[in-house]
Amino acid sequence: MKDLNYRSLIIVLLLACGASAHASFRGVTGILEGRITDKQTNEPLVGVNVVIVGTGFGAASDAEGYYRVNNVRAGIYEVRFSIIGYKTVLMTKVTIIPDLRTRLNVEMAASAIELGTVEVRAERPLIQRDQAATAFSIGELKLEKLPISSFQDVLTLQPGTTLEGNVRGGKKNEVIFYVDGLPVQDVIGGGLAANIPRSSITGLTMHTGGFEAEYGNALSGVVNVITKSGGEEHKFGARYEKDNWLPDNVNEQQDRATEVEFYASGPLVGKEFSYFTANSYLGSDTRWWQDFRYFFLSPISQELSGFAKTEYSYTPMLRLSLQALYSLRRWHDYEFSWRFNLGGLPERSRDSYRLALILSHTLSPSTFYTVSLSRFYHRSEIGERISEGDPLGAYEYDFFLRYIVAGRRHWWADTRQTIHSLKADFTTHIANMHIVKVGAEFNQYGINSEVVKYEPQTTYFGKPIMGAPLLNYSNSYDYAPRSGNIFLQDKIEIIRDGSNISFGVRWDFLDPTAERPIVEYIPVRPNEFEQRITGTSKVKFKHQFSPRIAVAVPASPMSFFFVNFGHYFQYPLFDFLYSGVNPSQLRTGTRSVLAGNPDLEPERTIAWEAGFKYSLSENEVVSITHFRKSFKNQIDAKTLIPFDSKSAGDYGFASYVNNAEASAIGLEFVLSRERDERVQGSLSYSYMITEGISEYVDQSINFAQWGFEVPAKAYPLSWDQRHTVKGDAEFKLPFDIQANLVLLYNSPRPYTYYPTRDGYTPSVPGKAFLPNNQRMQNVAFINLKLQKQFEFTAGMTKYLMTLFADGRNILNTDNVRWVDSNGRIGGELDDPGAYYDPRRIRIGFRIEF
Amino acid sequence: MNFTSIVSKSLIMVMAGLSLSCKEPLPSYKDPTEVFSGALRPTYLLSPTQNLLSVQLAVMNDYDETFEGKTLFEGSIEIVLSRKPDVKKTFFLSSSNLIRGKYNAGSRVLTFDPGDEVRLGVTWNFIDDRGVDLRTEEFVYRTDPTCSLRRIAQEESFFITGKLKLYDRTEEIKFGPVTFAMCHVNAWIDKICITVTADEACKVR
Repeated sequence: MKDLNYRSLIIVLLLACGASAHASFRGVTGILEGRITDKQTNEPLVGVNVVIVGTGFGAASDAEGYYRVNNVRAGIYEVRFSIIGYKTVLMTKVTIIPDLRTRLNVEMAASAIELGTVEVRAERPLIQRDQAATAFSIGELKLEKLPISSFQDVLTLQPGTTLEGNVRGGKKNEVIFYVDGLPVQDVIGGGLAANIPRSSITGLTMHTGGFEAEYGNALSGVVNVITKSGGEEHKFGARYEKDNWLPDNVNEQQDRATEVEFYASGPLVGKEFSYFTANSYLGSDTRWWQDFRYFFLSPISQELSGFAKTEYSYTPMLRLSLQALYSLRRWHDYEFSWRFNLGGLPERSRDSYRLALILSHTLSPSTFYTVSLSRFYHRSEIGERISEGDPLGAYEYDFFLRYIVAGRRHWWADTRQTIHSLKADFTTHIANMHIVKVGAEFNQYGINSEVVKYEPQTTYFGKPIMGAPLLNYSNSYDYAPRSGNIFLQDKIEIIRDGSNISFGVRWDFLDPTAERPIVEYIPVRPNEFEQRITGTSKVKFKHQFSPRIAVAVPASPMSFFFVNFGHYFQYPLFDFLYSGVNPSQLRTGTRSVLAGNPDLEPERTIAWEAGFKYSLSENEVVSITHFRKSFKNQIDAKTLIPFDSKSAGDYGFASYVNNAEASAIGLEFVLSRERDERVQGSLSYSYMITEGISEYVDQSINFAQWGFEVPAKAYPLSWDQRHTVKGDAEFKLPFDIQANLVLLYNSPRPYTYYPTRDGYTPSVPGKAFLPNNQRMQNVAFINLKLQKQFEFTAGMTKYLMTLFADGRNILNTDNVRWVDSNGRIGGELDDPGAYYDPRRIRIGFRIEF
Repeated sequence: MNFTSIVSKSLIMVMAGLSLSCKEPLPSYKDPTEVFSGALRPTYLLSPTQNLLSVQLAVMNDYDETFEGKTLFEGSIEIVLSRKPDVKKTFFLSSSNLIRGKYNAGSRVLTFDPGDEVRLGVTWNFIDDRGVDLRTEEFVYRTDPTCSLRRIAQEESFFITGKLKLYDRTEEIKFGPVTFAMCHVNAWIDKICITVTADEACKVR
């Protein structure tokens, strides 16, 4: 196993510790506002000093008693209200949610003499009236209580999502992840490109419904992680947990996982210059440790990730922040059919680094701007270097042709992406009604990929086709595309704490900066073609507008109605644009089975939702939301003319095209109970139908290989989860033990039943192939986290210690993940990976001082 | 103790209990079983040129893959006289017994496709392992009333069993026991008498 690049890590940390405090950016800050009145007379109080403790942020109330503090970083604060002649009020646990207004109305009592401060705990409103879309916010306290492994798990707890992370019928990679408003996406392979330590998160917001124009390049959802900042006091903490406290022979229900995390924050120089850093290490032998131990030394999977931030407040109005994020991972893949030859699977690694410099400047109480410059580097490696010309050894199957017992997977990849981004946002309040925000972003990419990959041809049933040539998925490319966007949005508060209308428009562009080879296939013999490059043509510059509109109207003091509509775009992954179309590579005669298409258009979602929220009581709210989504221009592979079967298989040549579409429709009911020490939490039910004509980008080429006709009509997609129930309950147990119970249930998802007796031919000859024509089984999980806190003092230092036990699938339910085309769970090998993870219990502690 | 307290303490106990003694073995490697099915087919061969008991072992490939590997055809066929078990004949099988199958004698590799059949066979001249000729020592003949030149033995039953291992990695296939009844005819006579076939021998009274 390769060593983690600790030198790079140290450099990153040093860089991060070399600068300064309090970043704010897109989706990172919110507004604190409200009205201050005299408790006795109910008259507005003018000139009350409002200070957000520890930030230098504040405001004074106007002639009508209103105050507003803009550009406040999301988090939990104390806010002090003071004026001569009145008792000072200190509001605690004030939560600022990104992009939203936190309304805090205060009544102050007159007092002739200075008395002590009145401390009041702020309550979050059950209904956020300026939020005209489905979104969920979770703070750091809740994150610590939930039985989750990473922040991505939180998304799967929300209504309308699946266990795999599909949001309201969308594909998994249609969700974009931001850390402090800056994306951390893998633009070649898709998905989240870096992990960040849990202790660095102060909160996260998930948009599963519509989102405003400032968010783009996502079709289904946005997850925005807000990180912590250093404060005026030094704080340190550590967390340690593992799932193998007992010996292996006593407890096999483990991943041999150990996780360690350290974090620290505080001032560096004076109050203006602060830092925060968190670093975590996760070593694990994975669920398959019982097989891995015969091939590799422990740990099989290692992940080191960290986040560091320094902030400098030149004045409370001008702040500069330097952030560094790193995430390094090494691991081995596991496939059940390779379990007796795991050394034949290539080792994998993924390294990500991000540096960001963010300037936030508040020009006046109503106007501020933010500018950021960032560099993101991501490298993914698979296996040891092989060349396209290297001889390929055949895989050796065991006598029964079930397991691969010798040979290596012919796969080497080295992909690198560098993204330099420049962003700027400008926000201003106009006439106390409009919050106008304009922004622009420019990204310059460096995309480099070298892949050598050969795969054996298989039947639909997974059987290797003996004697068939290996399929060549190799590619090599190096491009420097550019993308960017401009957005304008206006959030209009028609009546204070009343109706809101939000308009927005966004213009995105992508310049692939590529030339597309003009490839001609000349017939030389029957069914045999010769490939000729006759020239190149410049690839189109792509751009589009996406309008957004949202309306939120209170129907009564207890209820609230919202509706939103938008067009959402997402550019294809660069691999779908560039793979296999490198002119110089093509001229050498190299041909991949599947060629990219630099002229691919962005995928598009047209979505709307309407929701109604009603407060049942002062701590209970119920909501119902209906949504419809239409997915257009989805990417699939289209088989083109057949040519030399030795290079591309005997079914032809395929390229990516925008020819697929899908739709989703659903209803979500949510009952939430908050502000109750005994039991609080939420219970949701979602009904969804998701249908489409293609569920993954290689579908058509695979169908062609298998000899199936491409379905002409929509069918339920694999993540079509009709009924979903989710609940989480937080309650206190005796001995002051805090419990958090999570329930996840979904009705059976579809799979394709198309039986075969021999793995090569259908059992019923001529039977039409209908994808996803059967359903699997119900899936149900119960997860539970228990924790107990202790406080103690040693010397002058006060320590807070938390012991916890974090149990997943505590009833050890066999939840089916996949079924083969014969209806067998785990296929002919009884692959235990066909079930979701069995019970796992991690026990650990956290200490803070 | 109130209900909440009982429930919560139970929860903690369950949580603690669950963390102990939890087994999760990965499936151990097992070769697939019942990949072959077998049939034992005895036949009394009576013709101008043969007067023998033929026994064939037919093996069907019920697995969904082709088997290919070296084989020694290890196995045997045992024929036992029902009324006198010490009268028996054992045949040890080899490639020379192969009647049907894709076998390369040079490499000794047998290729066995799904749904295909491999067949091996032996013929027995009614002399047992001790050299006792059943035709002179055991069978009780009487003259055929339709043909004085022909004698037909009283019906005798044989228990026939077989076993065969085709490949190292596959299980031994067991055949039988099959009970086979026959009436031995001392000689093939036609033209001057009515022909008696093997199937009809026991019906002649």
